[in-house]
Amino acid sequence: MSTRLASHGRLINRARALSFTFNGKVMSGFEGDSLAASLLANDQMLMGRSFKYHRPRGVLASGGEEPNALINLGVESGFEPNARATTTETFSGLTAASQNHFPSLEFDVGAINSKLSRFLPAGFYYKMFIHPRSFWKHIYEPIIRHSAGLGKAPKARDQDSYEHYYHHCEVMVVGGGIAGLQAAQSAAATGVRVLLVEQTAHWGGRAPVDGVTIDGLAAEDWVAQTLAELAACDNVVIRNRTQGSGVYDHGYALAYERIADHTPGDGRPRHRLWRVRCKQIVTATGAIERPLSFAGNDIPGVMLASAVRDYVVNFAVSPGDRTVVVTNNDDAYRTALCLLEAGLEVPLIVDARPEGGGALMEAVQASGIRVALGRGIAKVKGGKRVTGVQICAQAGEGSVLEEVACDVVAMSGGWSPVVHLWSHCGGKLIWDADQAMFRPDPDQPPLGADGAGFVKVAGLANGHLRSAPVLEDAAEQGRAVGRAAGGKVQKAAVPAAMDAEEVALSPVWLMPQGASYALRSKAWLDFQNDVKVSDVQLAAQEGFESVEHAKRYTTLGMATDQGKLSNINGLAILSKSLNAPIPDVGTTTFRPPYTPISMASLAGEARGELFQPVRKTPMHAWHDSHGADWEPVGGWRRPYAYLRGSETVAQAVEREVINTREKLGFLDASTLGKIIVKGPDAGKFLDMMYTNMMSNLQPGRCRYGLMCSENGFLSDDGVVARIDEQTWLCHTTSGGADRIHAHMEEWLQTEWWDWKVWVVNVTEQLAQVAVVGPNARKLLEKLGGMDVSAERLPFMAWADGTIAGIDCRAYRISFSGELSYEIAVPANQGLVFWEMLMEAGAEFGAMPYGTECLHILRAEKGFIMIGDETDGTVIPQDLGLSWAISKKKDDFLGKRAQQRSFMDNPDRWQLVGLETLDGSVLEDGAYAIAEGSNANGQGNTQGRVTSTYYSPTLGKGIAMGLVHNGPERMGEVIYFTKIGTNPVQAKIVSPVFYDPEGEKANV
Amino acid sequence: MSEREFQGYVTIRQHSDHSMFTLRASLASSKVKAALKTCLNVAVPKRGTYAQTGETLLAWMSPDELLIMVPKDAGGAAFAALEQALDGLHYLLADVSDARVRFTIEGGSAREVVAKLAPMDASAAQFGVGSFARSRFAQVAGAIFVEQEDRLSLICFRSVQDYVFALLCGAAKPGSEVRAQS
Repeated sequence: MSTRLASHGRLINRARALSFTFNGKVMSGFEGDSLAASLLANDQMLMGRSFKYHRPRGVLASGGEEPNALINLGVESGFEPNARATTTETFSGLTAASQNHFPSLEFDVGAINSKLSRFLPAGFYYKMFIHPRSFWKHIYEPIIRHSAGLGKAPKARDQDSYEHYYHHCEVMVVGGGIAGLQAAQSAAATGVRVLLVEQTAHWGGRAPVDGVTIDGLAAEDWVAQTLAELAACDNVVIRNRTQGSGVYDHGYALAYERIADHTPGDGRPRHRLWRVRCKQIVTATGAIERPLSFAGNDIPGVMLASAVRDYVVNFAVSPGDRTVVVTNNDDAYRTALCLLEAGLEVPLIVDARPEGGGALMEAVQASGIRVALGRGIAKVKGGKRVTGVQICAQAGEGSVLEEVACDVVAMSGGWSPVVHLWSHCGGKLIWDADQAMFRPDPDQPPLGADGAGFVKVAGLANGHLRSAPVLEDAAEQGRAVGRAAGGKVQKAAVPAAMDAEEVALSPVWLMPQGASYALRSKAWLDFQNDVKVSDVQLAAQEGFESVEHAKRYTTLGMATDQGKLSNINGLAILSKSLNAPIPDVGTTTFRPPYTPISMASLAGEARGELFQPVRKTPMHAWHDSHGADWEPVGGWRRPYAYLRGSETVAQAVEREVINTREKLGFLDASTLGKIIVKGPDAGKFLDMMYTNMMSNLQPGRCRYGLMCSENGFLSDDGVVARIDEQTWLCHTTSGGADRIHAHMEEWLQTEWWDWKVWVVNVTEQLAQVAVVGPNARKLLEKLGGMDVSAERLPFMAWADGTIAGIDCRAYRISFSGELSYEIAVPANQGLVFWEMLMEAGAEFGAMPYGTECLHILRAEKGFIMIGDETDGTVIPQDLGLSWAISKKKDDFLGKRAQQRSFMDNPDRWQLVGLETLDGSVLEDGAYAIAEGSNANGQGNTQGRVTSTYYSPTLGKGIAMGLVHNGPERMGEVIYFTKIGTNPVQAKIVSPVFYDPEGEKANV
Repeated sequence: MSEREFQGYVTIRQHSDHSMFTLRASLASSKVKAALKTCLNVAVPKRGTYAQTGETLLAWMSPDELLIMVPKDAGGAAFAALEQALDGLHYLLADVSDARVRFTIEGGSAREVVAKLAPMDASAAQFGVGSFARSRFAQVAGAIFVEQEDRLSLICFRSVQDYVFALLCGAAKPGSEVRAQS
């Protein structure tokens, strides 16, 4: 059993006991524990079930590479699935539950899959679920979705807050072990700004556990001293609980700070995403110990050798009483020594090397521990807990030589440098055959914009396994990045580190090397996704020779741990199966983030009311308190209609239309784009931007204009007013202001840079109100201040003045067909002006109206709307707007494109009005049906509906649409689709349904 | 315009004490410089900075754009004087007082709050007193300048003022201190 020891525990505070629950059971731990340590201390070795076979699984590792100990953490709005127990700090009140089992962790019916494993080989899903095709959607996919995923999906809204933080520095150092500390110190000494991040709560990495001494100090003391020195530097920022998660182009890196995971509810943001911009990056990310592949290596109690001593030294937790160590290298002997020192039993060390190891082995032997050389583990015995191991010759096929009882197996297959961050942005690896590891190739670093490398690797991550070269390497890399980032290198002595001598490891990819199929099919490579040695061999046999294909076929390395433990072992098996050297097989691609980070941290503050900025007009709050039913328009919110009492939206719209036609309506038109264009060449410029002439517009007058893209398609429209000799004011659509402003600037800056034209977007400076209806003039005359008579302010004219004491500019323009003024006032007075209109307009029957009323009013008049009648494929000629295309001008944007044969051609879908024979409303986007069908067997079409409404004015449905040769087919009845029912008959008519002579607006 | 305030670990305050004008003109032109000097008694600022005399500020927006800030009660006169002084030159002067909103971020950690929202380097070394920059604040455009070591001003469009105020309040929430300025 696993338990808490009386000695050791450098990271825990025994004075602070913590209480937490696991699967509802109350347990206790100490401050400083990882959850995995706390669970082990409570004899909870079984922590979860595997994904495919529901095998019982215990904790394997002690860090971010852990594949097994994934738990559901927290409840309801604080719930998170797939949290790694090894990287979760225990806190008082923590609630944890194991995953992927039914009904309980101890008894899981899903474990039957394990008995069926020979029916669930690699590629099972591909082979099984392909036939019959029709089963996929309705049978296979729902079942697979149901069983997919280890943890439960969160259901409640996340209670926590998250944020981003942009950090600029010259050098970022990832990893707070001795290499990272030394690299940061050496880089900081050059005078540049340094950011040092460490993913755990503790500094120093493995060195304090492994008995390293530095400059005569215990590693722990050297770490504390160095950390204090760094903290005292003005140019250094140090951050624990912050993982360097990703390295991207141009010195961009992401770091993931877990601020309050261990202190929930303290008001701090839970996670903070650091968006770092730096010049140089050092990754001092250490190395991960590799498991050995032997039968039963996934039974709870089989652990990485380094993890076993981590639990003892760091947390005073003994994983078990009797530990068999199995290794191919010297480092694992440290675990034996550590266990001995803690008073625990080590009955046997199984060393696959016939010659054994060096000084560490001798020390172990001197303590009286038996070392079996050239041996391996044939099989681990036990179910939910290791009970013993069967020993065999490593060179053989697994004949059992002896059995040893134990409850822990500490395995070590050597070390793999953590090269992920080096590789994210293209750093290449080389195979180091002596150490049996991929390590960064210093000659092929990730390259920055200047073609030079911007990432360096230090220490273990760079393939240095001994502490003295680790520090030398770290100091050198630190100086190098400091220099590359613009610092000045000064000579400084490198601290001298001491540790035990080690002799070379011997690569062991399968134990025993000639293991039978039965053994291989119980030798796990990927613990989380249940991929075994036999699966990878099958993939190779079936022709999946590329490591990327074999990965996807077997799902090796595709779990939440992304193969941190399995990748190298897997590709070694693959290389052997393919009879190709390991470097030729290569690795799969390393992609950020290094370990899963919260989606919420990526979103940062962008949630709730900050999810998206909502643009508000000066009258927004008034609309909101007067029943506005909101509609998003180009980043703005505009009232769709103003609901009164128990009205439906449709009833409100109908009321607004009739009231505006008969009496008086107000529209908040502040969202319309307003762009001032000024200069000696402004007229020439606008003649290029618009299809019609703007240079000959007289001051005081307005003109409706069309803008096309250089491909001739209609892009925007609006009324242009000439202000003075050199100044024009261009109105754009509500969504178009920023786009058209940028469009103008682009042409002025890149093509016509010598034209004297200035452009300023003043959209937000002005509140604009459309005062519309037969009573419009009466109201303005009542308010007084300027002459708004037909004589002084005729149709399509504008004038400056004041209305009721507010400075304004009034335009006689109409998008409704009624007598209409659009009045612009300074935005800060918009609300006052609006309220004044409402109050004074009461006697004339004034009501505000929304965008749907606006749409209906314009559709009744046959006015087009950008985005309804246009979709990026429509030219003005299609819409009967040839009158707005100047024949006199030499050029305008889109002119040449419109001369292309298929554009300059009447054989197109063109705008018409549509009236159903039964008065019903056509469906938006409905197609006009043509004879026959196309090559795909789809019915042919001859047009489509672009705008369709119920017209309260006319008491029937009206629509506009683009119909093939439409204008020549007036009176013809054609059919339009209607979803779920028979086609609808509609007659082709003029698009102007109301007041075709325009008498009502021009009064 | 509403004057809002939020007391977090820095103080967020909305201000409406200035008129703001956009001037489009060649800032290299000696006539433009002279007109500005005459009317406002402020020199044209260098790239990335603003220049100030009393309460009047000129901020560098681009090689041909200035943001002019004048105390509100002097706004009308200043605008008219500028129009007159620039007459005959190629320029565009527009009143944008109502289009923009200014917030101050005040306190020892003001730069840190900015760094939560804007990708720019807002550190004291790179963005000292007198600096002016246009940047992005979460999802909207804005401009920012350093009035004093512990007081920064942020200018955004009026339509998104509620969003920006909420952003700033969130970033300044007590308990969310980063304390990582170097």
